Amino acid sequence: MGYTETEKNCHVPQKRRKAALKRGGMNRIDHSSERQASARQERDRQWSAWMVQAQDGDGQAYQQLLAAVVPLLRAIVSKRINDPDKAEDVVQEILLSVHKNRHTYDPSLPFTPWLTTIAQRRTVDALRKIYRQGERETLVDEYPETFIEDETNTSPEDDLVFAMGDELNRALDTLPAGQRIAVELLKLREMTLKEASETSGMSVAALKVAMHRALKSLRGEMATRTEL
Amino acid sequence: MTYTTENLIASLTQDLKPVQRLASPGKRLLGWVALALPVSLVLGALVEQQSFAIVLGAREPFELAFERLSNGRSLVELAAILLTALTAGYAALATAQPGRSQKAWLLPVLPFAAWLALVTESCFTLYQQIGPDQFSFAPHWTCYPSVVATGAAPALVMVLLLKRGMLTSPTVTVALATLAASALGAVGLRLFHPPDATALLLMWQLIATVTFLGLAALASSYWTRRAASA
Repeated sequence: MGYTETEKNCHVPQKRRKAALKRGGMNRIDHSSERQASARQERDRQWSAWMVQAQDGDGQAYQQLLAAVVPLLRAIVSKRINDPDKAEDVVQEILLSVHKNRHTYDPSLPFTPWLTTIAQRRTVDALRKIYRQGERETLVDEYPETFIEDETNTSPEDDLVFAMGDELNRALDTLPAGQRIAVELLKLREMTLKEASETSGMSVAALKVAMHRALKSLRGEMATRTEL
Repeated sequence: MTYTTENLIASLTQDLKPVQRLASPGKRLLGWVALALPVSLVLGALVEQQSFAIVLGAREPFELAFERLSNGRSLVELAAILLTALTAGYAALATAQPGRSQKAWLLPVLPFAAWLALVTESCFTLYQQIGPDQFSFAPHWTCYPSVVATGAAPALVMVLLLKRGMLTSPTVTVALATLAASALGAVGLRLFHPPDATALLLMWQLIATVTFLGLAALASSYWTRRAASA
């Protein structure tokens, strides 16, 4: 066929190769796919190195790794879940899974297949949950009245928590890591103590204590902010 | 109010502790065989010794084992069983580690097919010898203690090993683990159990192993919960 050495080594399917030759664009395909493959390999090596450092307890390398993989995770999840809020929740679930199972990464293997396996598993789990919820729940435009008295039927916008959402977010940022994780898992994700313990690796007792302290700190912080 | 992904990353990376890396499936397989096989053989021999004392009163289980080890066909069957245990065990452990090839489930196909073929041939020979009136698939309760004794350790140790990994394809992993634990337990049965390992015995072996895996998984969750709340 008279291919060059570069063409022989390039992993372009034969049909595509022939079509490209007709168009006279073989070199362009060769070079761009080679560059992409090389960039992917380089990226994988970097992620693998960061993960190895993370397994040894290097928080900075771990932070770089997690921040770097988020776009890939968003791409994987958004292929199957259209709702951006739900997709972001799934991305966070994947990050928690990666954290819990980081000991299962074998440094002698590429990092990306390890990550995508976990991401796909969690996405499928999330889809199952969404379908199950869809079968049981009915969407309503307005919340039904709970009690006859008007003051018990405030709209969410009037609710102090909603009104102070940003303030609460800022107050959450002031908490130590353990307390923040406890609030995130138990209150925001509404996990049970057992689930939160399995996800975070903290004991149930430690989670209870962290939650108690977090609520106390938040009360104090919010009171100060309200007075201001 | 949302807890942003950036906040979550900051929480997860703060005060990060080192972790012990999961050993390769090959090393964990060696550990499984080294721990579970001797226990399975010892328990199997002890139970059979009791049965011999009660039922037969004459021969020792080790005499039977030596007899079978010197028989060519028994050795081929034993090799197929052991190979099924090793390949299915490796595949179960590999599929419980993300990033490893999920095609590992193909490994035990040939050894398991060979084992089934030998069992089928045994059944056919037995059927020809004793005739349709005597041949029965009814449960033999006297065999059950041997099945339990030989199958418990492989199943329990396998569950502990799988708990350290991550089940990304639970159905495949559990099926492979069941096959592996059944096969390793069958080594003891093939050596010490007086009747030949027929399809019936294999069926009971699989049922027993599924039971063990279920019980071991429940016990493991219980201990994890206890450890988490301690």
